[in-house]
Parts: sequence; C-alpha cells; structure tokens
Amino acid sequence: MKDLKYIMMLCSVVLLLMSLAACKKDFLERAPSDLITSEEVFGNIENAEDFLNNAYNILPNWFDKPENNHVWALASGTDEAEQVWDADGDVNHFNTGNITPQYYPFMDRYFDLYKAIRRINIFLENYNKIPEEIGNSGQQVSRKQRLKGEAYGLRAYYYFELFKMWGDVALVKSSLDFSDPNVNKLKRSPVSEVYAYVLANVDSAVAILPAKYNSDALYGRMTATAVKALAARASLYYASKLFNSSNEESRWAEAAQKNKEAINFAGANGYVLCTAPGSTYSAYERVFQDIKNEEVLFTRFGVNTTSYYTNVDKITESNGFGGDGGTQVLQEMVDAYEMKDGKAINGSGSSYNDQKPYENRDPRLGYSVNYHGRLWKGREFNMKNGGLDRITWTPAPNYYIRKFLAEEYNLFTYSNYRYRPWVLFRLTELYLNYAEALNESMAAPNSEVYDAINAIRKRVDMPVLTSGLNKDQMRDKIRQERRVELAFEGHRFWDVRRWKIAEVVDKGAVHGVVISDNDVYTYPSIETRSFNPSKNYLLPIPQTEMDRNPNFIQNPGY
Amino acid sequence: MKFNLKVVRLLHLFGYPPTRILLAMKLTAFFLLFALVQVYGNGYSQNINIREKNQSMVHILELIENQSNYSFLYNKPDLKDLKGLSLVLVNANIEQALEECFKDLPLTYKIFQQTVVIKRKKAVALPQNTLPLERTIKGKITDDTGKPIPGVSIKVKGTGTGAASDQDGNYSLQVPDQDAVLIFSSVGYLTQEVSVGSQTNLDVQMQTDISSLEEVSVVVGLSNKQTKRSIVGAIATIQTKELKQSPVANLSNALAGRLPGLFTVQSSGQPGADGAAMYIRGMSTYGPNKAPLIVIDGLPRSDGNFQQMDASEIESVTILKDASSTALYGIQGANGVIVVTTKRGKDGSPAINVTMQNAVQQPVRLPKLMSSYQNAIFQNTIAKNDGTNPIWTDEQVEIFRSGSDPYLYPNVNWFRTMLKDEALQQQYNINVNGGNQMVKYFVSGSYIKQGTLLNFEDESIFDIKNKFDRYNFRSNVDLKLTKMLDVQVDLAGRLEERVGPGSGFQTVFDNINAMGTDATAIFNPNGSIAHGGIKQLFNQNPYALITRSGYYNEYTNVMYGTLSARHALDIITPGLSVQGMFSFENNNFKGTYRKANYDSFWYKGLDNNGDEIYQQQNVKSSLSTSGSANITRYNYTDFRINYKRSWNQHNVSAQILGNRTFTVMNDDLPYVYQGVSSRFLYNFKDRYYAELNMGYNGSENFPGNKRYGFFPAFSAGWIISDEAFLKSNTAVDLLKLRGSYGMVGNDKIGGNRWLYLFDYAAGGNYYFGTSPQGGGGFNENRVGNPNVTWEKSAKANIGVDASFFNNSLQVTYDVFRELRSDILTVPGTIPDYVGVSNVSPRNTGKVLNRGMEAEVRYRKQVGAFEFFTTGQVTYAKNKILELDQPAPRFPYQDLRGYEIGASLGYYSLGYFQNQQEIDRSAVQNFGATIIPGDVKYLDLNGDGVIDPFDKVPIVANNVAPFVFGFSLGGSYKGIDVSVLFNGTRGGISYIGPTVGSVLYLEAWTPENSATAKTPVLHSTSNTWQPSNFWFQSADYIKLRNAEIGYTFPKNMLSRIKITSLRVFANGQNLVIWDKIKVKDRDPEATNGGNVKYPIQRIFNFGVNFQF
Repeated sequence: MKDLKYIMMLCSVVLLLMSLAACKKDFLERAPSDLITSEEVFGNIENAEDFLNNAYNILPNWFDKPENNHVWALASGTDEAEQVWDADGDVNHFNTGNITPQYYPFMDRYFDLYKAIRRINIFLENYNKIPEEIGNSGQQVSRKQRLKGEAYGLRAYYYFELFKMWGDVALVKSSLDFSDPNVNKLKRSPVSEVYAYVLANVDSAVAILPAKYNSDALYGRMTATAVKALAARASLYYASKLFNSSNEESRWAEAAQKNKEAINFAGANGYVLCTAPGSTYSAYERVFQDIKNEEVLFTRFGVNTTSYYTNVDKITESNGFGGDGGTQVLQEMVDAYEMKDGKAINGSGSSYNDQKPYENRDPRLGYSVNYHGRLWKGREFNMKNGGLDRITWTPAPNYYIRKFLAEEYNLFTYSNYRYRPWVLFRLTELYLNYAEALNESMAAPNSEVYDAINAIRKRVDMPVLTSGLNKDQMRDKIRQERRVELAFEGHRFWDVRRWKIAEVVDKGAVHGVVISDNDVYTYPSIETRSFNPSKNYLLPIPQTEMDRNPNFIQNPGY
Repeated sequence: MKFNLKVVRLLHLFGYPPTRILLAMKLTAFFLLFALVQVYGNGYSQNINIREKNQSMVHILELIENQSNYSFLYNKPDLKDLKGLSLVLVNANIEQALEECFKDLPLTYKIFQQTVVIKRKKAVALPQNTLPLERTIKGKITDDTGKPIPGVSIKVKGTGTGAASDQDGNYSLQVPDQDAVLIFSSVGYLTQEVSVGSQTNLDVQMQTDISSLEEVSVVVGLSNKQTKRSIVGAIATIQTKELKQSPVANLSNALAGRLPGLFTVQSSGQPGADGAAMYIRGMSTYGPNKAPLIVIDGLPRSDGNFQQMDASEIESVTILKDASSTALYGIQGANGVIVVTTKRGKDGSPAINVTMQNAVQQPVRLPKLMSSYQNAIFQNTIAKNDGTNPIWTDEQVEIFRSGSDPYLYPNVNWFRTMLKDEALQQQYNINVNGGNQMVKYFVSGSYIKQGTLLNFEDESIFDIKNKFDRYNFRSNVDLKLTKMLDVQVDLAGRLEERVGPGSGFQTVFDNINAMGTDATAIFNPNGSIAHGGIKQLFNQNPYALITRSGYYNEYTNVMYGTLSARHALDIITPGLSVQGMFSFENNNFKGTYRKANYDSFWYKGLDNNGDEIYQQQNVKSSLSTSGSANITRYNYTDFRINYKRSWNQHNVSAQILGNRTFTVMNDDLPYVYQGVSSRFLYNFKDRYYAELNMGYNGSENFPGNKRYGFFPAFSAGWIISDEAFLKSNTAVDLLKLRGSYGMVGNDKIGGNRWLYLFDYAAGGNYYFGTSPQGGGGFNENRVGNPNVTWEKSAKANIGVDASFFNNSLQVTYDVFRELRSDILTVPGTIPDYVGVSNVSPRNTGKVLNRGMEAEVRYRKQVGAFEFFTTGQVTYAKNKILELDQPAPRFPYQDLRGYEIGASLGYYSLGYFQNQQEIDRSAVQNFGATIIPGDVKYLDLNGDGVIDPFDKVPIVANNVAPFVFGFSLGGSYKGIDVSVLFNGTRGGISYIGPTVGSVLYLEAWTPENSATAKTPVLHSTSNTWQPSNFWFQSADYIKLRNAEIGYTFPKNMLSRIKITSLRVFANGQNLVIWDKIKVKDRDPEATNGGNVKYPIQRIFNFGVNFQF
C-alpha cells in the first residue's frame, strides 16, 4: 500500500513537471513582436517623411552646433565677439589656437553630418518602397517627389558643410555596411569631387522642388530657391583662396554666374530685399524678427526656442536683464561699423569721437549691438563699474548682442516670449556673394558690383559707395559690407578662413570698452588671440577617425 | 555507513543534513525534540515477527523498525563489539520485542514517543572512587542566548568519567576531588575547561564556535549546505553576530573588512540611499554590471532585498568567489554570488528575543571652507595674478573681516549651517523562534528610523520631517507533514518610506557645494529669503530648498515568499529525495513629489532715501504634484532531485535542478531565465574530494541560437592532514589543499535588451511651418548584433585551509585568476563616415583579473578570558586586454594593458617654479597665460607643445587593489569587547577642491613652493585639464567598528524570568586615518569634486534580552 502511495505521488509530480514544460514551446522567446521594420517606415509616406524630417536637425544655427548643449556662438571664435561666461571654455579653443585632432569645438559635427547623410542615403535607397500619397491633389509637387527633392537638397548642404570645414572628405554616396572590412579603407576625396557632388545633388533637387511653397505648413522645407542659394554659396567658397590656391578665375566666374542665377530665380519668385519697417522693428531688424520675411530664402527652426541651450535671449542678454551675458561683442566689431556718412571711423575726415563713440554711426550698429546708454526694454544699458550690465568676474568687452533678440521678452518672468527662426540664407548674402565673385572675376568692378552693394546700403540709409574703386579697394569694401551686414549670422568665421585672412584678424589683441564713473571711455585689450596659418584654416579630421582608417591622410599641420 | 541509516533518516526529519549529525552523534541532544509537545499518539498496536539467527544488532533493529512505527536512535560505538544476536518473536508488541532483544546486552533503552533511544549501560563506565572529596557536581548548560543545550559531553579531565546534559541542559556527575577540571564539549560550540574548586553547582555557558572547520556547515548556493571541511571552492562566511555589531541601516555597510575577497565602497551617507557598492574579488569587467548576484535563501533576488534586510533575520552571509561555487548560477554568476541564509526555527519552547537600539549619526567629515574674509583676499589674489583689477576694495575686504554688514557681505558656512551636528537613529527588533517535531518557526519584526542631517526641519513650511523608515517582517516556517515530506513556508516583507525636501537631497547638496562663504546671507534684513551677496546672484538658497521647496514621499513595499517542499524517496533508493520550490516577489515603489518655488530677493543695499532695495529673483508658487511608480513582479520555480549516499568510504551526493525565473518590471516585456544546474560531489574517506558543478541556462535577452550557455566547473580537495604522515602531528588539525577551474557567465548587459534585433523607432522631431509644428520622427534604432551573447569568465582558484593547535589558529589562503572575455563593448573601429549610430555592442572585450586572499584567525581561551583576533587581506588587480578600439596613432595612448577606469590625461610634473622654467618648457596653451605656480605637464612626445597627444593613460579608481581587515576582541565574565579595522591601499581618487575650500589657503606662492597644495591662484583652465594632478591616494584605515557589551549573569536574571540580558554600545566609522590633502570628506567617497551627503559615524547603544 505504502509503495503505491509513493508511486502515485511520484507520477503526479512528473505529470506536473511535464505540464509545466509543455506550457510554452520556448519559454525564452520574449522579443518584442511590435518591431518597426524598414517596411513599416517606408511603406507609409507619413513615416517616411518623419524619417527624413530628422535630417533637418543638423542644419547649422547660431552655435553652428545645434544638437549639442553649448552656450557659445561661433561669432566668439572670430573677430565679432567674445565668450564671456565660461570664458576659458569651448569656443576659446579657436582663439588660443588649441585645435588638435583629439579635441576641438564642434568636432562631433563631423559624425553628425555623416549621420544625416546616412539617413538621407537610406531614405533614397528605400524611396521606391514609399507609396504615393492618395488624394490631396493640387499640390505644387507630389509629396513623395517633394521628399526626394528635400533629400537631395539636404545632402548637397551637408557635403558643402563637410568640405567647408575639413576640405577633402570621404564621399559616401550610399549607406555603408559597417561589417565590411573595406569600409575602413576609403580615401578622402578631393574638394573638387565633393563640390561636383554638391552641384549634382543641387541639380537633382532643383529639378523637383518648387521655388517656394504655397502652404505655410511647408515653410522651412528645402526649396529650389534654397538649393540654388546653397549652390551659389558653395561656388563662392570653392572659388575662394582656401580652396582655389592658384586663383583660377573660371571658378570666380562660375560663382558669379551661380549667384546671379540664384538672385534672378529668387527675384522671379517674389523674394525681395526687406525695405519696409514694421511697427516695432526697422526693415533690417525685421529680417531676424519675422517668422517669414520677404528676403529670407531658407531658415531653420529652433535657434530661438525656450530651450535653454537654443535660447539666444537667455544666453546673450546681460545679467541686468536676466540673461547670462554669455556672448559679448568685441570693440573690433563695433569699430567696423562706418560713420553715418559712409566713412570708416579711422578714415580721413571721419567725425568719430572715441569719447562719444556711438554717435552718428551706421544704423546697423544700433540694430545689432547693445552698447552703453542704448535704450532697451525700458532702460538704458549701464556698463559702468557697478552698473547692472557690467560683468566683473572676467575681462569683458562690455557690449551685448542686440540682433535676433526680442525686446518684449522678459527673462525674469519668461513672459512675452516670441519665436524667431534662424536665418540660413537671405537675398542680401547672394548680393554680397555676387559682388565678391564678380569683382574677383574681372579686372575692375563694373556697375553690377556697385549695384549689388549699394542696394544693401540703401536699405539702411547708408550712402552709396564712392565710384572709381579699383579691384582691391572694392574687395575691401565688399568684405567690410559683408562683415557688418551679416554680423553674428555665422558667416564671418568661415569668411576669414576662405579668404585666408584669419591669420591677421583673428590674431593678437582684441578689445572691449571701459567707461569710468565720470564717463571716460577707454578701450583695453581683453584677450590675445592666436591663429596658426600653417594649419588652422582647415579643421583636423578627428583622431579617432584617423586611427580607424589607415588610408586617411590628416590635414596639414595636425 | 549503512549501519547508521536509520539515524540518518530520523535526523532528516529535523532538517539537519546527515553529514553534520553523523560527525557528532550525541543522542541526548534530541531528547528535547520529543519531550515538548505531545503530537504523535501511541495507540498503534504492533505485530512484530522476527526469526533471525546470529545477526547484527543493527539488522535486528532495522527489522523492528520496518515492522513498527518506531525509530531507533543510538550512538554508533555503543553497538560495536556486540556478539551476534538470535531472536524469535511472534506477534510481539514493541515492549515485548525490545525486552527480548536487549535482555542479555550491555545496553539500556528508553522509549520516547515513537523513538527508541539506546545507550550503553552506565555500570560499564564509571569506576568507583572512594576519596573523601568525591562529590556530585550539578549544573545547567546553556548557549550564548541562554537556551539550554542538551547532549553536551562533560568529562573529568584525565579520567574516563563523563556524562551528558539532558534535554533541559542539566547534568550531574561525580568528580574525584577539588582539583578536578571538567571539559565541556558539544558540536558547534567551543570546548571549555572549567576547574571545579569547591563548587557543587556549576552552570556553564557554551560559546558558539563559528569557525570550526570540522563541523559548521555553510550554505554554498541553491540552498545546499556543506560542512566547511568538505568545501573545495573559495567562499567566505560571516554570521549574524558580526553583522549585528555594525549599527548600520544598510546591510552592505556591515560587511567591510569582514569577508576576504569582498571590496566595498560607500559613497554616500544619505539615509535610505547609503548602500555600498560591492565587488567580489575586485572588478573583472568594464561592462555595466560588476555587482555580485544576490541570493537569499536559495533564490536570486534584487540588491535592495539584501541591502535593506535586517541583520537580526540573518543566520549567515556567504560570498562565493570561484567557479566551483558560482557555476551553478551559470550566466548570472560571473561577478560572484552573495548568499544570505535567514534564520529558521529551532526546537524548543518559544524564545523571544528583543533588541532595542538607539544611535546618534554624525557626518564623519565636512568640507572646510575659507571665511568670507579669506575668500575676498583669495579672489583679489586671483585677480592680481590674472592681471585684472581687484574684485574687492580694501574697504570691502575690511567689511568682510569685521562682519559689519552680514547681508551684503555675508559669511555663511553652508555645510555647517545647513547640516545638523547629529541625527538620531532608532532600531528595534523582536523575533521569536521555537518549534516541535512538526512545526518550527522563526518570526521576526523590525523597525528602523533614521533621521537626516538636514537642519531647519522645524522651519519647513510643509511641516515635514525628513527621514528614512523601514519595517521588516519575516516568518520562516518548517513543517514536517509526513515522515518523508518537509515543507517550508517563508514570507518576508518590507515597507520603506523616504521623506525628503522637494528639491531632493542631490540638489540641496549641489547648491551647498556651489556656495562659498560669501555667496549670500540666509535671510535678508527684512526676513525674506536672500539670493545673493553684494556682487553676485546665486542659484538657489539651500535654506529655502530645505524648508520651502516642497517635499517628497517615496514608498517601497516589498513582499516575497517561498514555498518549498522536499520529499524523501528512500523508497526508490536510499538517499534520494525530490524538492520543489516556488517563490514570488512583489516590489512596489510609489514616489509622490510635491514641489514649490519660493520667494527670494536679491538685497542690494540702501537707496538714496535709506530704503532697502530688493530685486525679486524667485517667485513663490503653490505646490505642484507629480508622481512616479515602479512595479516589479518576480517569480521563481524550481524542481530538484537530490541524492546522497555512502558506500564503504565512498561518499556521493548529487543534485539536479531545473528552474525558471520570470520577472515583469513595469511595462517591459518579461525578463526570464530558465535552466538546469547540477552538482556532483564525491569524496573518498572524507579525505579526497571532487566536485563537478554545472549550469546550463539561458535568458530571453539573446538570439535564439545563442540563448543557452553551458558553464561547467571542476574542483577538487585533499585533506592532507588525514594522511598518515600528518595524522600523528598534534599541532596540525587540518591541512587542506583545494583547487577549482570553470566557466561562469554574466548576462547583465546594462539594461539594453534585444541587442540582436534591427529596427526603427519613433523619435526626434523637426519643426516646420510659419507656426512651427513638429510632426514626430523616425530613426534607425537598433543596428543589431546577431551574435550577441553574455560575458564569459574562466576562473581558476587554488587555496589552502589549515588549522593548528586545537583549531585555535586557522589560516586560509587563495590565489585566483580570472579571464573575462566577450565583454560587450561598443565598437570603436567603425569610421564615423559610415554615419551609423546605435550599433549594438559586440562581444569583444577582454579583461584579466588576478589576485589573492589570505585570512588568519586566532582564538585562545585562558580561564574565563577568551580572546580572538582575525586578519585578512585581499589583493585583486585587473588589466584590460581588449576593448574594441583601433590602435591609436601613438602606442603609448593605448588603454590596453591598463586597469579598468584608465582614461587619457596629462601627466603632471608639479608646479612651474619660475618664469625661466616656463620659458624653457613646452607651451601649455589652455587659456590664460601660464604663470609660475601653474601646473606643469609632461611633453611626452617632445614636440614643444602640450596637446592631447601628450596624454597618457592615467588611472583613478576608488576600488583599491588591496583591502584588508583586522579584528580583535575578547570576553571576560560577561564583558565582551571587539574592534574591527579595515582599510584599502593603492586606490587613487580624483579629489578636486570644493568651492571656497581651505585648500586654497595653501596655494602655491614663491615662498611655500615646496609645500603648496594647489596651483597658484589664477583663473586658468590649465589647472583643470584632465591629468593626474588632482589624483590623490585614497588609502585609508578605518576603525570601522567597535563594540563593548555586558551580559548579565544568569542567576540575576532567573528571578525576573529573563533567560539572557545583554547591554552593549557599538560604533561605526569611528576613526579614519588617510592621506587626502584636506580632511574634508571620507576617503571612500572621494571620486569627484563635490561632497555628497556625508558618510556617517554612528554611536549606538542597545539592549538585547531573551525570555
């Protein structure tokens, strides 16, 4: 009897175990069953568009490094501004010359750009899977077509960015398989090939995209106008000394032609210089305050959002107005603004008074810079010792940026915030590009050069250029005009490199202003900068990238 | 061995493993089991039929047993040398059978319930003594908790006279004279020798022998117990007594210095969040999970369950270090295993044990700050050295000095003001254990309340007291349902509550850290919250954060239980049993965060009318509420088959176990494990041991073809001291050589799941349109690695255990080597231009870890004075062999060959002593111009400029290669004293000065250039380049623990019905000796610049009584 009892018990245990084991075929098979596959992304035009949309995030902005949390502007890396908050910090590497392949500011932009390019390549490789949108006729171009155009346009933009920074770069035209050992053996393609690839992508995009969108919801997307402006800028860079050491005039001619083409195309599609003042802001200021402005060809979202790291107001405003006072304008930049009569401040017959330095100046000084005594948000800036806007903890220029900022925005209460996009391309730049390229491509400037520059000056009531300038004089004028007109917009840093003048303008002492209690203005040096012309015109390829690829040859000097 | 079978079976009933009992066959010890409760009736009629000729006594007894309900209990030697027995019984009852059986033998028997206890007749033993001083000594023998111990052997030294204590611990025996010395001995207790003198009543308290290699058994994993003698793996154990000496809330802090092979690093003292990181044998992987597996009563549990356990619930904590003991855990065992065994009921009437403790906690150290006057001079010195204008005028410096304007020129040491000198801690435990033949139970309840150091709690506008509260409950019940079926039902639970300021402790300490003494006053002249000094604003006022930022409550409720049944299957073959276990755990966390902002004003002095000027900075808001919740549900099932048997001198045991684990955390897909583990143990003559441990298991986290791994480990041991050539050596009690080699795995790969999958995921955004709208985005998500698998560890261990001079000196020594391979590593060789991110890690990393452990224990008793000392040292050093990076441009920048934690940094050469030195040296271009007294770095490649190519691997690692512990103690007539020191050596920490630290008072100047502690006062990022300049030795020795206690004599207590009473005082982290430059923090909590919630020193007073 006893034995039977145990045998029964044993049997029941065995049965129990068997039933447990039979519960599930593979107990460990738990992987998510809701994986989003390539088919699901590209089989739905909504998802495919979302996938491509993320490629826009890498577009440059104020910091030229949008997706990283840095509170500096590229302006502080050149003779426009100084990083005051965290003065020894990142952007200062440009000013000390401390640029090494192992670390430099926005080194990670190299990877970011290639990540965006991979995204675009994947998008284009899967393009055929994307279904056409059903219904919704009456668009300028079908949604699917438009996305393809945007992809080409962005790819052109990003390869332009790559050669602008690093010169020769690996030309990756498809999404690479990283497990392939040959992937580590690519060579750097010469700038000429990269430039040609930029143009090829531009052509593909222009063939598809409309010049501008009828729908406001599509504002901010790549357009044929934006892509043509990109080609115009790229051609100017390609013709410039940095990439055109033998000064091939044909490149300048091509640049002139491409800029002309872009200007004409923009003009034909309703883009004009902004000349009408708004209720609060002047015409010049409106360019940066309007969400959609008549002279702006392409913007990016997000330079001025309430996010701390992209909030220009918070970063640049003085402590006295609730900001960080992070980026301040150099005396050199202030001095670059002409007198109201068109003379340089140190020019012969200039009425400049260094004890009343802000009187009778190019109005763009007042539009772009907040200086001592300037009215702002209901009170005057006070840069004197003990003044609300004076920074004491470190040598500071004592000028604040005004351009881009919203006067009604209260940083103490974060009230009255107003969104402003970041201007990437505007018609004025094309005028300046055109003037520069045209002047370089001929023996002496013709009237078209004058017209281009004068159009810009007229808008801000500055006198036209005196006639009879020779090519060199005109070059100086164009560069002067470009510096002032495009101040802080992210051009100067690259301009002084492509012109190869950084070794002059980004080297040596930079200055600020000190205003004594009895209103005596002095202009002390706040920093000594250095620039090594034998290497710093191009950025080094990141060292990790060099280590991974035996076929890569580093840029000279690094 | 067969011969003892019945006893073995009988003893199984009580949950004692046979090996232990066989070694110590003391019959009387078990009388108690039967006397207490009348459970089994005896109304069976028995019909015993026997017809045997010239058989062994044992055979006869087996026959009787098989035909009756009765079992026999006897001492093996007692049945030796009996002549063959012939017996004929027909339909006899048990009394008749026994009478017939024993009538001519020199044995007596006695029946207790269903058990027949057989003994030799006394007459044989006791010689007559006629000396006049001969008399009878009586007394009671108890254990250190006051419970009577039956079965203690008492011998008169030098004679054959002896006796044993009965079930109540009472004994009596005849002694020859006054000089007689009695020897008391029993399994698991230290042997005592006591002179009789003129006493006739001699009570003895036996001390538990926690270190006896011969007898104490240890849980080695999967709830298997083994005697220490038979263990051939590398393990270390401590018992509840030592755990309870540390008055800490978090159990991980009670282990430092006590277990050879264990490294602990405590980095915060925040109540409820002060656990130490634990590493067994240092670090063998740079992967995310270096923590050992926690196993409580045989089951893997989360770390919190261990850290928040009450020490009173715990019987022992064992760490498993080598492959032999960890292979059973397969893919979870590579980082070692911490095995916790909780207490279980013992036979006897309920013993109620109460402990009450009250403690004072103090920060061991706080940062030392310059006064604001010193700070002003400091800032002016910086300005002077920078070549800029002074920050403060002489008049202002004078105001700081005189303190005449404490609002605009404050002087507030925020550490001293915001933290109390001490906080209280209370701890209570009550537990009851007892049982009988059928049921045994251990029930425990504990409560701990820890106050925090934050000051001004009374001023909190929310009327909240910051605290950490915890209740622990446990009930372990053992049921003996039938003769062959044992059931365990364990339930444990824990309730925790943490209350803190709305901003959180982290923010409070961050802000305190950020403030020099001149930052701001606490209040403005008008009583409002201040928000800056004369010159600068500050982020947050810590006073306001503590009293006005709201509060949070975090509740953690944990409940877990285990049901286990074990059924003997001797019916199929002797020694076979099956066992099943089911366990669940429910872990609920709910946090409620009520935050508020507060009004604060920047006071700016007086205006022309003499009115105070205020600029409002923060604006008060009402409480906002947010919450978070986490739920973990876990269950575990296993089924095992055990087999244990001996033939002649071959002893075999085996276990095969299949288990499943199923865990659901919040919304995640379930985490599951499933596998089979097995153990095969063999020994010959209890002298030659061999073990094969195997784990074959898998987790859901790997691709189908990579899911299961096989982890075998082989180990062997040799008790050399049993060999003839050593057997006669009286000095050597034990000499054992053991070794193991095997594979173990580590599947914890940092929370990343499904690394083998490829997919896309929603994420990212970009805004389009004139009123910008984000449409959402999609990204390439996982770029899977279809070959992903777990880390593999090949571990080798060789060890020696030895004990000498009657086990008074014990030595253990181990050397080990571990090669960890397949460490999941983010690939570093894919060029950026591929543009791929989120590439799943690959199993490419390799780390070698080597080291040794040694432990020496010494224990001596001289009369009533007992003394012990223990010393232990562990050394473990790891080396990265592979980490999936391309060869760097300069080979000296390769991290391979360096320790885990190495990173590239400059090599500091100290200070530039003068301008000539600067001019002669390589250019250091890190911001401001270098001046004498700045840090000088090595120009490694000699190119005349310091750039990142001059960086070399530098190692800061606060897990030091050497750790050691040393304890010392003694007891005398009820007074016991012990101290524990522990320390580390070879650890290097990055220790930056805190804001406004007094360290700056010893900055470099031309005069003190030889003794300077910081670079010249100069604002330059040169100082802060990653380098070894701020590295400091983290070596320390701590008086980790000290205890003094007094146990009241029994005779005082018996009147008040208390069995034992002990009062004690102990302390934790009492003294620190270390090398850090400014003693402003605990050397353990050093990595980084900021000081977190300081580690605490604890003074604790308590009383423990039992009735």
